[in-house]
Amino acid sequence: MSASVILLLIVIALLALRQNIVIILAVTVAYLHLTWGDGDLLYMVEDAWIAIDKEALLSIPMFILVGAVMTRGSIAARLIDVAVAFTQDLRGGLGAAAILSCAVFSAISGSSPVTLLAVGAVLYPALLRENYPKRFALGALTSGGTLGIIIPPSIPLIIYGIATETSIVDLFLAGLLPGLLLTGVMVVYALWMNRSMPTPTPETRKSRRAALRRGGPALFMPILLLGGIYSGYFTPTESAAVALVYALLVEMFIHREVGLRDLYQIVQDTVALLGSIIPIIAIAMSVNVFLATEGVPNALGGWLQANIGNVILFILAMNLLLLLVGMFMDTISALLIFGPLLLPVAAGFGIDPVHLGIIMVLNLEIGLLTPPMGLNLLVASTAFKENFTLVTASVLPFIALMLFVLMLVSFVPWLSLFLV
Amino acid sequence: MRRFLSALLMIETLAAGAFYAIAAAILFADVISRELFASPIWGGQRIAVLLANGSALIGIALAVALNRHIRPSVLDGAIPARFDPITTRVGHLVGAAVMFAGAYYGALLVLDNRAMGFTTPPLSLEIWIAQLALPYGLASAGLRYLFFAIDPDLQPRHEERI
Amino acid sequence: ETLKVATAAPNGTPWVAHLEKSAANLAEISGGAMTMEVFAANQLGAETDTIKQTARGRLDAGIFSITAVASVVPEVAMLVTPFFWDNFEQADCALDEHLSDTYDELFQARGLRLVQWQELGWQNLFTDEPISGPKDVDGLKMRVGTSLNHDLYWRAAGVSGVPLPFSETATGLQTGLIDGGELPTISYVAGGVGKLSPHLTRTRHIYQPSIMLMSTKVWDRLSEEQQAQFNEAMEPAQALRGAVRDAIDFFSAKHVEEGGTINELDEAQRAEWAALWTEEKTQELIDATGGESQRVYDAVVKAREACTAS
Ligand code: NA
Ligand code: NA
Repeated sequence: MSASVILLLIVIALLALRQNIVIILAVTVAYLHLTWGDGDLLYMVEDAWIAIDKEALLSIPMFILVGAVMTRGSIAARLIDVAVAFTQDLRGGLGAAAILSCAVFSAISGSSPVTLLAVGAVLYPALLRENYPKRFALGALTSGGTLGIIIPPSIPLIIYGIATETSIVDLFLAGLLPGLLLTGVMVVYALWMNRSMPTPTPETRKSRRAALRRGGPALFMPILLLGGIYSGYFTPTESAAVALVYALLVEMFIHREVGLRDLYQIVQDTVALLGSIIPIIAIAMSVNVFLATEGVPNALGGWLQANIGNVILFILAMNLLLLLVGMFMDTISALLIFGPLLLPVAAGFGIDPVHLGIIMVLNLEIGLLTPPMGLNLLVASTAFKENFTLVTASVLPFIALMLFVLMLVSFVPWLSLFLV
Repeated sequence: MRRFLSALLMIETLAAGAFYAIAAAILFADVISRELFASPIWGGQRIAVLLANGSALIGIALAVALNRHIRPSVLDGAIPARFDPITTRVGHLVGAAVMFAGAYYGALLVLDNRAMGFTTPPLSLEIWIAQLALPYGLASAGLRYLFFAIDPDLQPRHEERI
Repeated sequence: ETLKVATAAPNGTPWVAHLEKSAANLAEISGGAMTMEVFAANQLGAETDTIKQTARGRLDAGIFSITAVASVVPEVAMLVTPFFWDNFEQADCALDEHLSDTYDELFQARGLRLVQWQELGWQNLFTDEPISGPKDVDGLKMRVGTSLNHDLYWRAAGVSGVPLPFSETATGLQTGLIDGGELPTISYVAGGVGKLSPHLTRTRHIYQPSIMLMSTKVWDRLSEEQQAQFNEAMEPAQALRGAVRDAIDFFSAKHVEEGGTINELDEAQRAEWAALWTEEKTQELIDATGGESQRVYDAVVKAREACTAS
């Protein structure tokens, strides 16, 4: 029996024994090391440590803590109030508010599921109460949540920056226009779809001034974060710590919504979440070192350059590959493995590393919405207690919109590079 | 056993929380100290990284304790439900074995780096001290799986919370 | 046998060319039985990681900066005290003729073996605005190297140091996170930093050799014949040093062509910068580095004396 068949059988057995993804990955990579590598598992552990021992990764726990604090406190709810207050005069305005709330929240949060959960917890019941179709409500929130990783700050852009040694500040700037474009397209679609919905009844209407006043400290946050980065007060990594301190101060002393008991729960949830994500990053990164030592990136690059004649074909092929990858892999591992792999090849075709990062993250953003491994689909169906198939069907029109924006961003580098 | 596990959970949560709090405080203080007093904290980011790594590695055990690890469910039905009591126990034993194996190799790495005396620049701290979290987190995760194998009811229900 | 050799230097630089030439020599001398595979541009990871892997015998050899080597053998910091060396010739002579044994002993205790002392060049100061002397950098936010010798020196100058990785240096300048910094001339010009912060002051405050090391485990595994073949195959260090120094001249000229300025210091001006570094700071560095630093530092001073033309 060949080694790859044995590996396949091991993975099937682990799946049947209901093992978690960390264990399945660990066993798979250990098998790779023993069969095709240098056969020493100490090296695998060493690579895993090296993978997580990086300054830029610090922003991940910090941003996740920020998200948890804002969700447990009232920053998220107050931001949503602002979006609702400013769209309530439009027919279908609450639908647009769902997308806009996701976009505004994305400007503080670096993660997609966090955005989806924070906004969805408030707006999903609200949309249903106002008689929006369930399918639209699910689709808008599940897809709007993915804006979290293209509108800066963004954990996946940070990961891409680390993996390819591309400037994270530049990547953040480059994500801004594509993120806003995607938001605009989704808002227009939401308004069009719900053009027959009535505007809200008088008792649910909100005063704009009151919403702005209540949301003030929260609205200041994106300005603080991006302003601080772009005026040179701190780096993207440091911005995460600044955001955390700010969110804690606001929630504990201004909103007074978070106490010590809440903090304990926030910390426990965050540590457990990171304990499930960080080992995946560590193992995926260790595969990278393994592949590089075996010379795989060079071989693949050579093959692509020899067999794909021009840049248009390359971009199409790359998008197709990444969409496929997005179906089966989580965003972070995909960026860690394919970022360094595609970078030299893309450079050979004259594609800027920053542009490549935006193309990759947009692709994998779509991957958050595609089965079987669509993280936002999983999170949405658990959080909203809805059938997985229904959630999957609900995001289809939004995937079409995202593909449209993906093509624009792929073939119009200006959209990504204008601000850089 | 239940009391031991919940006490362990609390201690680990507090330790991981303290690590993150110190890491965030160092990062924040570094910004303030640099921008206002022109005097950055030497090696501040490095210390913060090591602390955050400590938390994340303890987090592996916490995620096992709270049943929060991401788990693909495609083949859940492959083994008929009437074998569930055995399947669950064998599953936990496999989990324990993998985690303990990881802890073993983690301990080897720690001993190796200790013997070599490698430091983590710009700090002159020896790297093995920070790496102790690696065998600890994995062994603690393995221990949980072992308890779950003995008494599957100790494992909490899976819930998605982010 | 294929020896895996890692380096941070990108393809097309003198360091990679030096390794590739040596690899070709080795293949020829051994009749194809032995060769080297070069992994450029940190393909196998950061230097501080690859040097540990080399010590462990997982990688066979590599070219490392002083900062990386210091994480394994802290005493190398004694080679890079600010304003220690007067010129290239003095450093070459001291390293090649007086210090190889002193250091090789320390390397071997950590599983590494000195192949040759190579070259990175001088660290120089660059700033957004032209400067005339040390008083102009007081209070400036600057990208500084991440080792104690850099930190001690720039603190003495009143600089607010930001230890940034090279890949973030350009954007740090764009956003205003930093107003200048220190880099070797080649990285400064080739990395595009020179266009953003165009005023180079040739302070030559810290001289940095790079070091090619091989795993002792790997070396001991080779037969005597193979060891001899390897030694014969290595291009001489002086060839690489020449190429690096030519590249410094080339990039300096390019910098001026692109509109940058280079401020050469006369002896009195350089002495002003050197005065920021005192005996007490040297002692502070020695004490903080620990290990056998005092003994090694004394040896380095003696080597310099022996190599100073009277
Ligand atoms: Na975001
Ligand atoms: Na997916």
